[in-house]
Amino acid sequence: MNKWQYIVSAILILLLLSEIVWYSPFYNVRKGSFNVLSVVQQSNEVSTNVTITYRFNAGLPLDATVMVTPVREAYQDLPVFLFYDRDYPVLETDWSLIAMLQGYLKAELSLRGYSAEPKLASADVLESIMSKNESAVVIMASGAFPSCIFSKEKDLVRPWIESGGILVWLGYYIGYYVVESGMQKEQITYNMSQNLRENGSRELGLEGFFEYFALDDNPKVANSSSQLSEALDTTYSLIQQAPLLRMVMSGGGVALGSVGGENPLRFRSSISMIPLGRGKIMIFGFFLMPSLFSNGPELVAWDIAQIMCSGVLQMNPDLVPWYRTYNLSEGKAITDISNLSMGSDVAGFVVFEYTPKESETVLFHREFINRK
Amino acid sequence: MRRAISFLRNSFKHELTGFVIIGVLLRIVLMPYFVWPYDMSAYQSSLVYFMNGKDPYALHASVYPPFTYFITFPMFGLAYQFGISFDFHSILEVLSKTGVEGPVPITQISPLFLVFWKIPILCFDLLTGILIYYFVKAMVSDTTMPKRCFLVWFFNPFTLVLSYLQGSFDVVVAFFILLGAFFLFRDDFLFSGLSFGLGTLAKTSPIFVAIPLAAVLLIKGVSSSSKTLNLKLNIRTFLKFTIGCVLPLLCFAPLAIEYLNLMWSGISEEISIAGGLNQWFFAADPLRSGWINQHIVTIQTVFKFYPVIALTIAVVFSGLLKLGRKRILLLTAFFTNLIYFFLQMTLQPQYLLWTLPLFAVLMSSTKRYLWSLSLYSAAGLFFILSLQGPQIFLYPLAMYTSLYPPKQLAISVMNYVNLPGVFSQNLRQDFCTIFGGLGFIGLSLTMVLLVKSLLVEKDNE
Repeated sequence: MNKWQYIVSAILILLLLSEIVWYSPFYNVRKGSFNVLSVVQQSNEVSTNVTITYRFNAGLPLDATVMVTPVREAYQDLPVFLFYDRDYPVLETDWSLIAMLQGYLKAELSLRGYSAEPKLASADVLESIMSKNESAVVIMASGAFPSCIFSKEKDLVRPWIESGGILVWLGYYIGYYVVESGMQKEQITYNMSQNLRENGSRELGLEGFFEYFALDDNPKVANSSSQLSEALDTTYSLIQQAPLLRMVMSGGGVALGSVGGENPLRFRSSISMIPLGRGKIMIFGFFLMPSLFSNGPELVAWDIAQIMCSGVLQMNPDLVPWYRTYNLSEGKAITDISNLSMGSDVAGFVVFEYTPKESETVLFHREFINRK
Repeated sequence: MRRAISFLRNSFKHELTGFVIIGVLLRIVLMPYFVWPYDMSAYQSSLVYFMNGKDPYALHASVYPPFTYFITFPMFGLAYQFGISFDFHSILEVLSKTGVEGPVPITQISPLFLVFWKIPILCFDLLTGILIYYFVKAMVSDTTMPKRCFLVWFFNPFTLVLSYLQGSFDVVVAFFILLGAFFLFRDDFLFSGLSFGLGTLAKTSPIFVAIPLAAVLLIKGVSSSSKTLNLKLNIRTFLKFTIGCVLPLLCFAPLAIEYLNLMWSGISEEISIAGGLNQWFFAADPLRSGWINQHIVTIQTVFKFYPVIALTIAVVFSGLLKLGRKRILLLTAFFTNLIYFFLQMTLQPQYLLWTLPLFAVLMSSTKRYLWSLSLYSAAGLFFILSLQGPQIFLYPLAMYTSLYPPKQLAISVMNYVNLPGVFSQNLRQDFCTIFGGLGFIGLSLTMVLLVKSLLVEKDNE
């Protein structure tokens, strides 16, 4: 053998050894874990006191947050659909970004143990889901409703949400634009006859929620964290087309993202959750951005997965989730307790543990515990 | 022990020693300093998934090859054992400013991560330089030429920027393609195949070079003594090469399969200059016609025929040419360059690195390849710098010192991004079109040159 043959052989052997260790069950990172050890509930007529004991074991260095969210209704993994139909135009974004969002969301939900896999859905599929009032999460990031589900003549969206559907919206003002199959992106203008414009949000029960300014006259970025954005580590920051925070709050909703704007009366949240009947609308303040890092598909998928898996969609907006953060060095273990009190209208609580994006350990845990 | 001392003594007497020491020191200085915001965070986060024992492809967390992770895994594993942390943070005040426009995020990454990440790059970079030296030494009798060719590679600003500023692993691909060509040159078909196979674990491209080469070996065979060629020998040669190629892929399945799947299904659905040197440089659309994107489906169809096109060319060459050692090297360069025309809608500038070592070797016998090498290096280098502007050199100052506040950097970057262009929307886009065009012209001329060399190359090697 000559020396270059030795080099090829050495590289191959190094790679094989590395592969064996990586697949080995003894690889020490697999020791990282989170377990709920015990749950003690003491109830009386008006409230329940809950004490949860849990334990962390760190394999690699571990930064983690434990969140306990009291929820009002049964907590279940709804099917998830992303609107993706190339027969329709997109506004200010691209179908490929939406396809990427699905890929990232699939990964993020799977890490958190969410049982339903997000699927791409055409306008026809959405029409079918909404006309049958099927319980589902529908994510629309193209910026416009297809006319088969929402138009001047037809509204399948609002009845579907009111029956328990969850709509996640990214784009211009919700309901403003309506597009037809076969239209080109270049044909879309704000004054097209089929657009519902300001009436769109009114039809969806969101009258007065938005300020309709020219795009550049809107504040762009929210800089202050909200309580829930900190607890959930959400990062979406755009608020150009976000609803007014005071309207969201007065409608029984909550801010799940950062907050910003010109003055407190006109503050907006980058992610807002607004209840509508038995369902919810979750509004992101603008479009998906073509960025790897900020406001792009990867981080929006993270935000959506955090929100869906933490139980905040089902929580009572008057109750604030309990959360605590941890920084453990490699190989350390810790046992801790969470004490919280919840009202009689609570159906149970979700214990959600996650490691933030910057953590060197990837460890998620999600558990729903019924109120006794 | 005596042999080791003798080896070291001889090494220090070697004509490259001084250059290697200077080059390595320069690289070590660059390693912790530079961070390329597009890639380093993505490398870091996908490595975190891998270190956690999770399949980065199933989790949609990575477009980087399994080779990268398996080669860095033992080193990072050891570092974790010693409690070294590689965390990174987004600089929020900058993120919110630049996040609106999308393209210019700034992230703070541990300098230690940058060093650890770039150590394998340094190893392969050095190995490539040394291989160029020995390859040229085996090819030409001019005693000064090996050193010159080594220097052209080792101090090429394009390779330095790509490997130590961007942290790109493309030097690994470049090394394995050159090594594959080197083994072919020495009639060592099994190890040539192994080199292309290992290269394929690092990026899909080497397999697309290996396929037409395998066809040539089957049809024509390669030997220094052409009289002995026969079908049986050709089949044996072909099998050695193919088994060598497939072996590393089998060893690292299923991750390798997942990675290849991801790459082959991941062709962008819209041409954009937003991240790469575009061989279809007119896609920057200076005339605003949108023609390329309107015909994207048709254009993509052409790419799917690459294997057929490459095999047809291989058959034609096999029929026309008598294949000697020098021609097989030219053919390797030809097929490596051919993939640039077919496999990527958006050609990242770093991909040009794959072929540079081959030119560094070829220039020893045909000086004109120095022009190809220079053109590729200049186009790639200036394209990559145009993307972020001169501010890229100030990133570390903003991240690690108080000399240049991140907010000020963000404003400065955004000012550059928004500078109005002469024939497109902004100046940045103009630069990308110009340097993308330069790269495209360089590629086209080089292909003509390679075909000419193949046709006129003497057969009596």
